[in-house]
Amino acid sequence: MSEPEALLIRYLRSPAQLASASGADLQLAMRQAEPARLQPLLAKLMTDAGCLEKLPEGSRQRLVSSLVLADSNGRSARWEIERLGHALGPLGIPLVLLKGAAYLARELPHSRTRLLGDIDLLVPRAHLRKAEKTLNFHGWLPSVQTRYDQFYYRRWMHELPPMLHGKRKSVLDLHHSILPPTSRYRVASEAILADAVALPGYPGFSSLSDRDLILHSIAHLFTDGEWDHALRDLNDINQMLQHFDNAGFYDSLQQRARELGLLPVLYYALSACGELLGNPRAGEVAASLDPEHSGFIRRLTNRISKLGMTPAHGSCMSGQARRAKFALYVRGHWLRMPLPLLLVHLAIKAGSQDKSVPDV
Amino acid sequence: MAAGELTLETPPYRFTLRTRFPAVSDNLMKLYGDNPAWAGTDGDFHIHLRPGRGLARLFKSQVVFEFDGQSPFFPLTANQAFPMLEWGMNWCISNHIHHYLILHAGVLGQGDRGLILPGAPGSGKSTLTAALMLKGWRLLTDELGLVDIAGDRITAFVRPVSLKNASIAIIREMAGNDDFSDIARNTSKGDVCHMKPSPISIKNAHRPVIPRLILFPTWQEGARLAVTELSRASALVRLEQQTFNFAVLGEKGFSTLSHLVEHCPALAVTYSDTEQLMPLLESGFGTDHV
Repeated sequence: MSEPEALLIRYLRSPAQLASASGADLQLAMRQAEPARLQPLLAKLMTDAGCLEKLPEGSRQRLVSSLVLADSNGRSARWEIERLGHALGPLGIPLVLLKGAAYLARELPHSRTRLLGDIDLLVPRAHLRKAEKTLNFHGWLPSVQTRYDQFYYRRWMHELPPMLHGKRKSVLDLHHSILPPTSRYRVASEAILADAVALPGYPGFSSLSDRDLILHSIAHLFTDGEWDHALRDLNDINQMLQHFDNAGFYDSLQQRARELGLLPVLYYALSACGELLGNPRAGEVAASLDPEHSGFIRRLTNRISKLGMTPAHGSCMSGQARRAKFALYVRGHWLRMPLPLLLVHLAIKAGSQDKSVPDV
Repeated sequence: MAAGELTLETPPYRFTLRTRFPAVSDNLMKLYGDNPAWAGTDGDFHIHLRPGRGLARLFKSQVVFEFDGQSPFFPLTANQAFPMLEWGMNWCISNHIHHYLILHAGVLGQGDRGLILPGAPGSGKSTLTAALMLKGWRLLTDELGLVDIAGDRITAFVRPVSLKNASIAIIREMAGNDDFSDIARNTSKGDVCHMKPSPISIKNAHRPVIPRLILFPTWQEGARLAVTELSRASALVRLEQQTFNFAVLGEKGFSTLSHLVEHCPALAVTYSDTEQLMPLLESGFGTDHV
């Protein structure tokens, strides 16, 4: 890589460097962590390294405040899950928490330093309509969107348009699958649901199994077009790999990835965890994997995805990183839909002057 | 200030500002000329006010507020660049700082004794804050009351007072000086003008106050003075509506406000003229109970 690496990534890879870092570098890392949504994690790493005192008072307040916010997000999310249980529990259908809500409910270590916005909930497709109506009845309403957006989500996506609670303004994404039905990577929802495990303390709710939790996060990150929080997502994956690592875990993970057709994305994720986040075990396993992609595609994808992890901050977003994020945006759409469908979709979006395309 | 970066200290925070709008630099000079400032990038919050891009700039000149890789606001017309900076600086604090319970209130001091003026929009909070500052009270804030988590102290965050519409002329006349920014017309809040904090306020910017009186003002044209003493419960509920981060702080937010209302009386007043309030304020502050 010819461009200098973001300080934040360097500190995530080797937190030991924090102890000898200058106040100015720590301040810059704090600023890079803002758009990456990694301020609470940096706050914890700096607390552990005993170097918070090197920040000026105002910056220290700002960084430590992110931990207060993460705590508050967790508290609100637990309450939302409780309310969802109250609304949907009587239906007696499987309710699978995904992503941040699942990390929180499972009390995974990284959830304590993670900012959490939307709640993601998966229900079997057969019960989707019933679940939606019940939620409407309990105050979760469709967020305002165009008719095309409503149609697009319902026809082509793996989730309904975000629902907003009328009083609490909390946002819920109701999923019926983990990836869009038109995606190049087709994951059988039945297989994922069959392996879900009950969540102690959250009656009626379950979580994906350990390996599916990681694979879902990986599939999401490496097939998505939205790379703004990619570093945070990679950190989720890395911390879960370390948390679940025991004899045979990586073999079992590979086995499951093969069953679900996610071997290529597992390779890219492990390779990025090894190289960017200094997880040697992940790096070794990546090197031993056959990702079923040609050497050229493999090198290209590795390179742009690593550049795509750059925090979206002026101090580290080089031209290369910008171009990589754009390429990943295009790639995300390409993977999500067959080309004719994609062209129709983009034409409609262009005509509607929607501003969801990132500024590159 | 030349084009480029400058770090400005408004204790307890430092802002690194970058802008090429000459009107912003001029107003900064005028209102923050007595604050410490240096050419550096060591601010706690980095703000870049830049001209709008794209086709829109052919029709009207716009200003965009950028903060650490984000643009949280819609662009405004360029004549609002300075108020946008002020609003944006407030946003930086109210959205990122949970070290304090942040009250939407004016706070003034006499020595170490503090007066809190929580303000719903239209309550006349800013006008009253400005008027009291001109009468010699020390300004701690016009907008963001930084209450220590223990609930017993308020940290100063001395910044220009934001005046709107009719109050601009009234306060200018009362001040009789030129410590005001340009007036930005037709903003979402009407006409807006910022007033420089008094020298004594800037000089004491590091000095907190102990809350002694909470006054919920309601300005009403022609009204005779009406004073209602508020129960602690009622004061707490009213204060909670004027907090930025009560929910974020959770239990701590509640204990902070509880401590505050336990130790500090609260009044609701309706008035039409600042002079009506002076006897009340002088009796409430004249004697030192400590």
